[in-house]
Formats: sequence, C-alpha cells, structure tokens
Amino acid sequence: MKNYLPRFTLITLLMLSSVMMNAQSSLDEKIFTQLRGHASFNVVFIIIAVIFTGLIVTLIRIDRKVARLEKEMKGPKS
Amino acid sequence: MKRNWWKFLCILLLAFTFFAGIITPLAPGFLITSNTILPTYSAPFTVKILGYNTRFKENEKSFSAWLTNWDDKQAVNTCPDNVMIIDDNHAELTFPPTSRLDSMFFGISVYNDADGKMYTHSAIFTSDTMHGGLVQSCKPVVKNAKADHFSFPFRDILYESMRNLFFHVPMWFAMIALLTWAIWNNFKYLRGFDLKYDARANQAVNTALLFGMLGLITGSLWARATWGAWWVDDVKLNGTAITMLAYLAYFVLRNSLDDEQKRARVTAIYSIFAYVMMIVLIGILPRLQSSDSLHPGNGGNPAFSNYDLDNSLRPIFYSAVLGWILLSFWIYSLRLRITALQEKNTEA
Repeated sequence: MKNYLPRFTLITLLMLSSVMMNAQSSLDEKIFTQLRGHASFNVVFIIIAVIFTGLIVTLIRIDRKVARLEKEMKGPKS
Repeated sequence: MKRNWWKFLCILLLAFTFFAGIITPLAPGFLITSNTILPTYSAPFTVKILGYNTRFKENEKSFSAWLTNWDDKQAVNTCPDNVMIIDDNHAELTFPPTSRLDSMFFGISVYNDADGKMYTHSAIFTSDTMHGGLVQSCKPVVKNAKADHFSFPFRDILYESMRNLFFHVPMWFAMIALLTWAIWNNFKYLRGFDLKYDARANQAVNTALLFGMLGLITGSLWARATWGAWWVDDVKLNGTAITMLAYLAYFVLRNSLDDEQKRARVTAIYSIFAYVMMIVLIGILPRLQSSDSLHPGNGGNPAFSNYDLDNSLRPIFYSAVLGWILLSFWIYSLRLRITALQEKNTEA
C-alpha cells in the first residue's frame, strides 16, 4: 500500500491557495492529464468544506436563539 | 443517555463515512496521454499510458497490455510488439500495423497481477476504416481481475470526485426524510388541529431547506468539475430548483398570516401540495426515459449500483445516508426544543 498522506497534505495546501481551480486552463495538456485525477479530489474537499460551513452557520444560529432565550428567561426573574 | 443512542450512532456513522470515504484509494486505472486519433492503422503506432495508483514497475513481470474491440466483448486482442515500462505510472506500448476492416474504435486493456485488469473503452480512434481492424495476435492471461486492495472504482470523468457520493447525495436523502416527516405531521395536525404538530412540521421544513441548499451548492460544485458548468439544463436540477422555490414560498406564506390556527391550516395544506410536487419533480420526471438527465439513475442512465460491481461504495454510502439523516433530525430536534421553550416562556 502506498502512503497517501503526503498527497492529501499537498492537495489541501493547493486547495487553500486556490491555485488549482484557476490554474487548470493555463497548464499544458500533459500536466493537466496528470493532475486530473488529483484535481478531482479537490472538489471533494471543497464540498466537505461547504457542508461544514453550512452546519457551522446553523450551529451559530441555534446558539444565538438559545442565548436569546436564556436572556428572556433570566430577565423577568431578577 | 439511553434516549440519545441515535446521536451516538449518527456520530459513529458519519465518522466512518468521512474516514472510509477519504482514505480508501481509487482503483488503479490509466489515461492515454499520446494522440488517441490515429491517421491510419497501417503503420505501427505508439500509445503512451499514464497510470493512476498503478504499480507498473513493481509488477513488471506480470505486465501485459492489449488492444481490444471498443466494448471489450469480443475476444479479439492485439498485443504490442514492444512494451516499455518507464516507472510505476508510465508505460509506452508500440503496436504493429493492423490490416483487417473491423471498427473505428478500439479499447485498451492493461494488466498486472497487483493492479488487476484495467480497461479504457474507445481509447483509440481512426477515420481510416479501410485499414482498421484487429488481428488476433495474443491470448492475454488475467489472473486477478481486480486490484489486490479495497478500492473505489476508477471512473472516467468522475475519478476521485466519486467520493462526493457520500456527501452530496445524502443531503437529498436527509431533505426528503425531513420533508416526509413534515408531511406526516401536517396530516396529524389536520386531523386534530393540535399546534404541536404544526411546530414539528414547520421546523422539519426549515431544516430540510438547509440540507436542500447544501445539496444544491455541492451539486453545483461537482457539476463544475465533472460536467463543466455550474448549472446544466438537466431535469433533475430544474426540478430541485422549482422545489426549493416552492418551499421558500412556504415561508413567505407562513409569515404573511398572523392567526396561529389559520396559519397552521393553510401551511399544512400548502406543504402537502409542495411535497407531492417535489416527489413528481425530483423523483418521477427525471426517471422517465424521455427526459434527458445527466444524473445516474435518471433518463435511462444507469445508477451507481450498475457501476460498482464489487460493491465497494455500497456500505459506505448506506452508512453515509443514515448518518446524514440522523444529523438532520438532530438539528431539527434542537430547533424544535428551542421553539417549545420559547412558547413556554411567552406563556409564562
């Protein structure tokens, strides 16, 4: 079995710098074919990031609601 | 603790999904980097092969490659005169001139004991039908049809993005599960006019819309990478867009009515209609033969179940679907509990 860790690190770094998405068109065909397999991995990471962001936003919204509720419940008593 | 078992199950399933969905390597496969359109078959030609996750050099002894008919069904095989293995991922095959009239397209099979048999259909093309055709020149021996490790199938166009199956597709499953729960509570409300059910249905639709949005965005990103456009004219895409708009209208309708009972009744009936429309638009219409859809399982396209013959995707996909559905119900239950507390608070 190969060690896949270096590849993930590389891809994540490339994704963070968002080079891959823009660079595809400027690469020559041979390099592009070599990267095509790896590049399609980026979509997976981006999609996971999108879902993660969506869930975090939901979490924050729920948190705010609870905080507001806590305030309301505390208010009249004190 | 006992009541929360499904939350632990959710975490477990999603952890498994992320782990197995990312770590599992793609099956070995190859792309052709040399010119795939040949002027003629009557001269020898060289095919450059770029392996993906392959181990050509490591298994040089069992390496073989051959040209087949484009669909790989008829056993007419032409072997290369000369095979040059450069490294684990690069090889060059030189084929002899062929002379029999047969087909314009040919597939290429590459085999070694560790990677199994890899096949690319319609790999080589020529317009020279006068000289095209394969001459049986060898009988390749295939000992292991599959790679020697657990892997996801290597698919054209999809490649590594196949893993999105565990993230994009379950979003829709979660959405439909929540909307089904919503319609169930709508019916319950209409039977006894208990506002408890109305609150349930409303929060379910609310959460379903979040997953629908996530499904749309992730689908759009995936479409950009595989189909080449953010939005394609696909029945399933347009159907979902209409569904999302219908459910957005649900909130507009809901917020425009002040009387609680009236609001609950109107939205319950609207929600039932919207649900039926959703089933038709994303469940039935795209599956008709006459409709043209890029989605697997639609418009006569084979679903993923036809692709993964070794069933490597199946266990992870099912746990992903269940995990994401549980997560969506988790979010829904949090929202519901908050609204219940809010109501209690305003009453007090």
